Amino acid sequence: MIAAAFDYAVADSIDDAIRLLGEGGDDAKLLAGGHSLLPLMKLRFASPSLLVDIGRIDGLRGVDTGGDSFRIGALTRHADLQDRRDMGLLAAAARKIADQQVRNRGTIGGSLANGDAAADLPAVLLAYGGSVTVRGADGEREIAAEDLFEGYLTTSIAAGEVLTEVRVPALAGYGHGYEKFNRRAEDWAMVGVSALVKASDGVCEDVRIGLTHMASVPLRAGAVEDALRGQPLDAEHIKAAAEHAAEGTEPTGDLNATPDYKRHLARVLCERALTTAAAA
Amino acid sequence: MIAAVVLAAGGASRFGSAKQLAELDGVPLLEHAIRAVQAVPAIERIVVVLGARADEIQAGVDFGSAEVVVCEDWATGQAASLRTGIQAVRDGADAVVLTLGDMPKITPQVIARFADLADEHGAHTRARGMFDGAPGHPVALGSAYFDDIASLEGDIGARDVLKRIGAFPIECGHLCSGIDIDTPETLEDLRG
Repeated sequence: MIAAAFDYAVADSIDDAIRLLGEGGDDAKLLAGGHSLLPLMKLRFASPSLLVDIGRIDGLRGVDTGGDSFRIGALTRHADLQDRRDMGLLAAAARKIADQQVRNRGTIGGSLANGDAAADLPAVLLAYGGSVTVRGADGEREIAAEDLFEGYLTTSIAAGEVLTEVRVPALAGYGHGYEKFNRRAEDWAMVGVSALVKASDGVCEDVRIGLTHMASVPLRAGAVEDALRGQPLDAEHIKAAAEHAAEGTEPTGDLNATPDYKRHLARVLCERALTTAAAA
Repeated sequence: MIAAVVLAAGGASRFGSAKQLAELDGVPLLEHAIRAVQAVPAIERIVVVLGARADEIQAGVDFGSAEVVVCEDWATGQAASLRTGIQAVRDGADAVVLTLGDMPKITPQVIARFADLADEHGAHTRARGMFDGAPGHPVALGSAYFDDIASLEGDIGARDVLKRIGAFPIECGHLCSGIDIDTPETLEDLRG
């Protein structure tokens, strides 16, 4: 399908983008890589009256590696992250986003601001316990991952705000695993599981798990985390803990998978992601 | 870069002849093992370690893109061929996947699981295959552990190192047969 008609403006700075958004009202949307928003517009799930293109703003692309966290500019492309071996889970997930053409254009800020529970990065940010920085007419604020995703394609970023930066903790010493199941590489995940595990002397000291597409928002698999934390990190305990992966989830059925099948996938992929994480 | 090392230096004392050349489905056993590794795209370099009857085996096996290194002191035990294999790949490899030349039923899919782990974790990879609960191959090891392998001696294989570093067991028994051919009878059963 062809998208509904819209106006288009190019912002040359963040302040310019905020001004244009304000003038455009509630139906104005930001355009970054365009690889989440434009497909939705073509499906007419979204029909903004104005697109504010922030893709040419300087200084929003790149990674600052300092101290115990990574600060990632909102316009950083998935392709910029996919080979960053020092970035563990985030790089692993970036490698598995759709296909290389999409990764060359799609941005981390765009993916997170779109708030799609079926996209890869929202659940990854949640697993990390990361945050995003947004700027609006009233200044800047930081939103923690657990406060960011509010509902189906809905985030707590206000209409006039621009996501400028993403922060994730470096989590040195954690192993990671990212598993997703989809029909074709470029499809959204039927289910995805992000796992971060820290072991000490064979015991699971900490574990963080994010679930993709198991509800209208990305979720933490709290029941799995509780079952594994403090236990021996071996195949038996991982399998037992992963059995809890579907607890507290509300997957919706679609053409590809029934809710029951998604719950099954969550348990299987959780075991796989934890196993991968444990082999580092 | 992920490398693979296929260990095939043994003297096959229980087999009685060069088992690397014994045929299964018209193909030498060692070639089965090499083909499985070659079918894994994530593996960029393959080294086959030969020792006993190296000339005879080199003449009888199609190595394809795999390189051959010969372990002269193969008779001192598996540690020597492990050391030779690691030495051959350590310049440039972030991690290595170890397989055996006498496991003809290993599948590319199983090796790929270990190559993917190696690709994911690089220098810190530590995983070993299990078949119905018993330790086996493939083994995936990051370069952080290459020195541990290099210091091995005698006939102990990598087992002690894998235990010490906490290599994570990955069950593969539901994916392929991990059978290793030690005697003509085992091979005959497989042909049957």
